[in-house]
Amino acid sequence: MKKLSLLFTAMLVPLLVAGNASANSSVTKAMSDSSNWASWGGDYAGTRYSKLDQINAKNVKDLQVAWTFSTGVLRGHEGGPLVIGDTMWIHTPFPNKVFSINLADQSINWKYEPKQNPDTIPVMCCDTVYRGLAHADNMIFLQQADTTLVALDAKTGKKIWSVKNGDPKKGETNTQAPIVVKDKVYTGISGGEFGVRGFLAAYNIKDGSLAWKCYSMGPDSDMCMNPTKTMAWKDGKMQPVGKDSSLKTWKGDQWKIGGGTTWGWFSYDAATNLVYYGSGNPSTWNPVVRPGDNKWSMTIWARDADTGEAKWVYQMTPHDEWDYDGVNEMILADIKVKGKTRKALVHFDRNGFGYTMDRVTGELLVAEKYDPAVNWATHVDMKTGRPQVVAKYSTHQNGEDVNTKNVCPAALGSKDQQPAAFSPRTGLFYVPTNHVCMDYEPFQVEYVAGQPYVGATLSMFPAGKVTGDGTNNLGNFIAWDAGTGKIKWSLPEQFSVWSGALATAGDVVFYGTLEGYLKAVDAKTGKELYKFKTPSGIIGNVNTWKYKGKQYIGVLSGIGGWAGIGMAAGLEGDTEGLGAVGAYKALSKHTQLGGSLTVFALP
Amino acid sequence: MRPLFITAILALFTPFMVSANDYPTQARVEYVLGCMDSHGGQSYNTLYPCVCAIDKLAEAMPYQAYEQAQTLSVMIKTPGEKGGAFRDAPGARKMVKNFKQLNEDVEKLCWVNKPTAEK
Repeated sequence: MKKLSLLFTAMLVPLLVAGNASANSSVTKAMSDSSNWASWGGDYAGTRYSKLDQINAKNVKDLQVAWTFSTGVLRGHEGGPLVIGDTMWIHTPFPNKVFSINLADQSINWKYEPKQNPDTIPVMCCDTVYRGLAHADNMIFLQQADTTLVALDAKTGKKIWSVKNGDPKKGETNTQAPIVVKDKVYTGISGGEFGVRGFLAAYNIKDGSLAWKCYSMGPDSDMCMNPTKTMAWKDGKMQPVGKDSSLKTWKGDQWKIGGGTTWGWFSYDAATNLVYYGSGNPSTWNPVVRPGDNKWSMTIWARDADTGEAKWVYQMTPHDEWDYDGVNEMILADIKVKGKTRKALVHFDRNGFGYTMDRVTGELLVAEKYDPAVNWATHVDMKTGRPQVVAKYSTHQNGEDVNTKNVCPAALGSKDQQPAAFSPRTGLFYVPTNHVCMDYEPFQVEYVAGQPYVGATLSMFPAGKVTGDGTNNLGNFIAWDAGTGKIKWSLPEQFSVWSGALATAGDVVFYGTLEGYLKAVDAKTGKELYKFKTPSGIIGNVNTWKYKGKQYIGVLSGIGGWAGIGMAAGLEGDTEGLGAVGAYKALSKHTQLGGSLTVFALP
Repeated sequence: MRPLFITAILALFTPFMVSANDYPTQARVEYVLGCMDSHGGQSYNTLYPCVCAIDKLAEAMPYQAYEQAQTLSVMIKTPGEKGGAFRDAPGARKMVKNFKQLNEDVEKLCWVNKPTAEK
């Protein structure tokens, strides 16, 4: 009897520890107060919706700039700051500085600047961007470009621990924002253009030790897949994936450099205890040399937050032939689909289809084009879940060294990482989009670790050239009904919209443009209500918070060039191609330059 | 000033309009501050030529076109695949080249780059 109870106590201890970790949800608490903006998406569901309504459709026209903050860092500023209580944390592109700002007077509480090897820059495929921080348990989590994951004391900026998440010498880098659930921080990896094999990693927040790491492809154990329990959509219903579901879809051991990187956004649902995210394109870009479906690249993943085990998967673009990365955000919302309220996951994929899934079971509910120009597939077959590829737009069927013309969307997708927003008040999703098509020519390449492994030549142009409707805009900002898969309204934008949207209870939707405008539109009609030109183009996400009774709207601007200087300052150095950051060195004497946070409020 | 090629630069994005001299105060101030900054700092020596230059630009092209040309001039430098749409759009490179030429022309006309004692 005695022995038994001892055993029982011993079993109880770890249970209690785990219990503490989940009860200690500083994150949930911070998110539940709408004065805060506590994670990239505002909440775990990634809705980018705020209950604040002081700024509304009637008075938004009176917005004024309340204050600005210059980061002093050039290059593209993606993501947006976190706000909790009287403190804001701002991140920057490489070298990934972090500023803690006192909201009372906008003074700097502390600044953290990591020392990173500049050799990281050339292996970053698409500018030296960074999309944001995570906050939990009085810690700030910084995911550096060189893959170092750092925990900082949120009050002092002192480093608590750091861990290497990858190796830039092999082309592994990081750009995405981590998230924290319970006692773990989750991060992914970039580098699909370098043959990196993608994964989701969970680190214990108390000491940075690795809890688990689950890959996008390879043997079942590498992927944390359970052949009998992990489910996928097959013949119109969810079925177990079966043994070696990935290995069977690759030639030889190509999966080892298979891509499927994880550089997008992560969402979480406490009710299902699942973390949701997407995996990117298979490597190389040349589809001819990698026959098969290349599972599980281009896939929506639902993983158990504690163990990493995959609950369900859905591959959107089997055997990708166009670089339609599947990494875009997963928005968790309860919406009506065919008259029934569903616990849905809504995802606007680069491939041009807007997917509505059941986030509990993984069932495919809706898959429709959210840009009418999309032509690479006629539709998604709802029984097999497979896109019906149009032969003349198949870069594989056309083969190596053949230029496949007028494919829509272009490789960048109908939408890239810039996250959409969802308003429960209108039931609509607000989506920043690209309206761009391309010519695509694959060619043969050899893999060398740390070297680009692209194998395709691309040329891009406005979608109007293909649709022949006489338009030449490169973007649209749309409102989408995810229950029916229909566009409610669409605002043409001259340039692609690369800024993350924000929806608020004031029935105003905000987004930024590449010209530098912050725009506010009516959530119901799309009517433009306000615009203001910030110092540079906007590729950041619009956030909102409340401090001392006042609602604020904030957005980072900065796309690497400078509006006020323009062509006059000799910025015309050739920066095409990969990693050309050095061209901006001459500007360092201009201390005022760099990305800016512009903060708005009502007078 | 060669107003002729302005038609060419704008062909892609906006139909040519007679310039309305419609630049907002903010745009003019930003230009002048940036221009002064990159030519020796704030002084009357840099103020006058920079004011002259933005006035000439505003006479040469409407604000919307200026804004588009300027945005494109920045976006065309986006590295890698992301910049593709800007580099490859028909007429885009030409537009940027012509916009640069226009800037150089007004700078020359307004003596923006004249040698100054202060360095």
